Amino acid sequence: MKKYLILAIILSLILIQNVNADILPYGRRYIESCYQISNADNFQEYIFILDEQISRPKKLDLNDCFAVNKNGEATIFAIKKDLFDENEFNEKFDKYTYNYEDKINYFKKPELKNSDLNLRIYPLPKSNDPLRKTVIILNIKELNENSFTIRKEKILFTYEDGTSEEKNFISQDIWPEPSKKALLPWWFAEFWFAILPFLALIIMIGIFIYKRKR
Amino acid sequence: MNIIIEYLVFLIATIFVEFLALFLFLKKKPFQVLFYSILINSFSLPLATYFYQNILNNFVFTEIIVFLIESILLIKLLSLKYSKAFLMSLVANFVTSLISFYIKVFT
Repeated sequence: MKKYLILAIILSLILIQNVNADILPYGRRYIESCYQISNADNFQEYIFILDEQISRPKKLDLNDCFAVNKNGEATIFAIKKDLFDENEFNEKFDKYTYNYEDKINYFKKPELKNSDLNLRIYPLPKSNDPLRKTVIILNIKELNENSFTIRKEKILFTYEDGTSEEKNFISQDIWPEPSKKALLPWWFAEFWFAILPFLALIIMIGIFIYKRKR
Repeated sequence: MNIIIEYLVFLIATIFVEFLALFLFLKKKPFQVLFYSILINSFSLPLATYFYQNILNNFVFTEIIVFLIESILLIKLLSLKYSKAFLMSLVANFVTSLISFYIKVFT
């Protein structure tokens, strides 16, 4: 009997592994999603800073794909390298001493150019969609004393089976859709792949235990 | 056909075909055999579908795993001898595999 109980506990843990402490809409899931600037090399005289609504600003390493917080918008700022005071930045936005007012004042600096594009995470896919990761490629159209213009150029979708595809942005306000989508509606997929076999197994375990006791 | 209905029809058809195959061997307690066929297939078919669609796209290998799991469940549920349970599971799964293979290839 003990081994059936252990089996039931293990299965329950597997089935409820997707429980998330965040407010994740039911039937959706988080995926890896990040941004990359395709032509950052053309602007090597600049430092790029990512300012997010609900977290500390961070200096962007343009060789890496950078993620934005799932609960808000982010904006990229640019500042000429010779005008950027790294010590001041690190001090102001230290993990322990950082405060929101400092941030507001810092981004009022005239030498900091803010881009015209607000960055958000890619919309959460359905829990059974085969999408694993998105990389959104940004392109700097203009960066000078007066303006800083960025456009979302294309998006790279990577699927659970390891394949990937690239789609261009037709409009800045509309996310391109991945070609591969789940065959089944998410609620049926949960019923089919989790609830139905789990219920069947629980009933069978009940029968095994009953038969053994008898 | 709507994909949900397609999945459900396939489950019901599998339950019914496997029930017939099992009942031909046992020739007793039809309702109990039908109930066990419902339980066994409600467990194995969704997991086999998931395995085939997401883990290993190999029909024969998936069917072999299903055959082994169902044999063990038959031994436990119907208190059968190993040889009889394996034979029943082999026949039941062979018939359903043939039907699904036919549907896959010819429809």
